[in-house]
Amino acid sequence: MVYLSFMTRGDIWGFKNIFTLENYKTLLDPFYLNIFYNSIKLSVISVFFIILIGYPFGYFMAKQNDKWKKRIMFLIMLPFWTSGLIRLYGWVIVFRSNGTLDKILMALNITEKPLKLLYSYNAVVLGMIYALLPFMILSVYSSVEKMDWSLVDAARDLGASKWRAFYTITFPMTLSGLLSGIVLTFVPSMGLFFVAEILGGNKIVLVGNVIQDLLSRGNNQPLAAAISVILMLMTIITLFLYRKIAKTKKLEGLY
Amino acid sequence: MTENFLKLVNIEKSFGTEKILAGINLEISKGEFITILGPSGCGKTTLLRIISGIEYPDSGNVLLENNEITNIPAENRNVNTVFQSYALFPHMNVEENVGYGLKLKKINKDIIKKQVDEFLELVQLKGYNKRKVTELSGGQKQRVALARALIMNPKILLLDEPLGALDLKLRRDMQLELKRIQKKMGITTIYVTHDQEEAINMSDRIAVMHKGNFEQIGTPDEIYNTPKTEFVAKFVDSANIFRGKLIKTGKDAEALISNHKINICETKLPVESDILICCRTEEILIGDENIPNQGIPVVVKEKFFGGGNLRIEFVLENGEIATARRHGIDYNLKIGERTIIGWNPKNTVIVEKSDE
Ligand SMILES: Nc1ncnc2c1ncn2[C@@H]1O[C@H](COP(=O)(O)OP(=O)(O)OP(=O)(O)O)[C@@H](O)[C@H]1O
Ligand SMILES: [Mg+2]
Repeated sequence: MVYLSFMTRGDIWGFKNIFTLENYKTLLDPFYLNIFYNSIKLSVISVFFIILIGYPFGYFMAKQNDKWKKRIMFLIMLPFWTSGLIRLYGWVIVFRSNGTLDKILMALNITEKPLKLLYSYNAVVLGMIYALLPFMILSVYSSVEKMDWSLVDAARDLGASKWRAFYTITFPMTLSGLLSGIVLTFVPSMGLFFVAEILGGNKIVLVGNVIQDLLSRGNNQPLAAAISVILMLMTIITLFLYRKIAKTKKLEGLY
Repeated sequence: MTENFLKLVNIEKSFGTEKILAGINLEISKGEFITILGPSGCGKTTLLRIISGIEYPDSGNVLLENNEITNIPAENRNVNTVFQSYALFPHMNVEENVGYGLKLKKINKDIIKKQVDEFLELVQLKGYNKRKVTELSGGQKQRVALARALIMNPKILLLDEPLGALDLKLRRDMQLELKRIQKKMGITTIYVTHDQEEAINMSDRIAVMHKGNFEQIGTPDEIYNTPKTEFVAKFVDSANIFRGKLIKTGKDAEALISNHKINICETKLPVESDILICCRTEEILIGDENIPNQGIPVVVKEKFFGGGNLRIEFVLENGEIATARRHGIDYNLKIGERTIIGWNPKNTVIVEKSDE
């Protein structure tokens, strides 16, 4: 792929074995830069909400007794039994104008008019959160599960309030789970083009969409490869940062 | 000495349907070193957690200097614990661990630094400030945990089997050192262990715990020489217990053991009572060792050497087992040989039956 990214585009199909930096130059075009910027922005926003929901969820899940842990785990895994695309079309039904969500909200008198959520930025963010939240929950869960609670007892014993004990002991001790959750959600979020395509219509164009477009319609394999190389570099940088901060090579939640 | 520095009144605690503490009463004076001695799972840690405020009792009261603290959370009690597993914070170094409590009190950094140095010196870890706690040996971790608790100047120091994970030699050294520090600081200490030697060596008083109850509270001497119950007698140095029937009461009391008449200690119990007679292994007299009365016929069952002593096991005619302990590695008796055993009546104690 790296090799391909330095080749010249073929006239009709494929590529020519001629070395060029043209592909990377193209990427500096404001059009592509903007797409990268949008993708990253969307990922950051999605991951932000995923952290906000996923950390507390994983934390409290780990504190339940075994019976409840199993039940919650089952609910989290349930969506994985059906295909991702079918689930997304399910969301289309929920989000579309006068769809399920609008009907519920209007029935509850929370809103008066349909929200027109489908094909909006918010729908894409929600879709991203929905698709990636389980990874965050599971990686936080597995780090909280491993937590030695006698450390919290010790902190309380030495005069720490519950809240203080949480952010001086529990939080730093489960940070690796949170960080690996970020890696596990941020990296794939850059590539989830079908979420943007189905829930965002064609208004929201992400890096993943561009790659797909270049391959299926644009016949520009080398440019698609170049974008992929950039994505991979970003992944490597994220992983590198993770190792630096978490001081471990293992990704929590992956066995 | 202030009496009733700490007072526990009828503490009860259950987890689910299981009663872990069944009415604990205890009074401790200021500066006292008291040991809670009991087998694994009898509720020692649970009791300490209630005293420190990490756990609350279902009923009963905890009073510190006559103030009710039963429901005051741990962080406001000024009682500090050295945990069974040390519970050092792995993401902090030695200095940060020891200074953790003071930092919460918003004390000036330089003062914390000075105090940390002082307490590290006290536990003989001078200069270990920046070490990672994960890279310390068991004994060193234990010292850090101790310094971390002592630096808080607690009203009561709780120690939960602090030497449990150390080898024998280190245990002995640490026992002496703990005792030295405790005396030096005059700190009221509750020490938990299941090691009777440790309890006897270190304590002013020992509370022997069994199934969520204190079976006896007394000085090491009282616990060793006049056990109150069967459990205390067996748990502390595994003394012999004989089942018998009292046939003569008063000063020259007599009992029937395995169908043989033998003199025992003075008692006021009525004749015909079923009793349990305790005699320590080193007090059992064998064969021609001037048994002051008739003695009980036995057969030698087994001999084994351990801990500097020879233990000789006998089977009584009723099938019960008795053990005698002697210095040296052998005794002039063969396995299977018939002999008699007996005692000096003043070396026996009548004990109460304990729950199984
Ligand atoms: N949080 C809890 N929930 C349920 N049961 C518990 C809890 N804490 C303790 N127990 C039970 O209470 C009993 C007493 O436990 P505890 O830890 O007090 O024993 P211990 O005397 O300290 O034993 P050890 O010498 O092994 O440390 C045990 O049977 C234990 O399983
Ligand atoms: Mg314990």
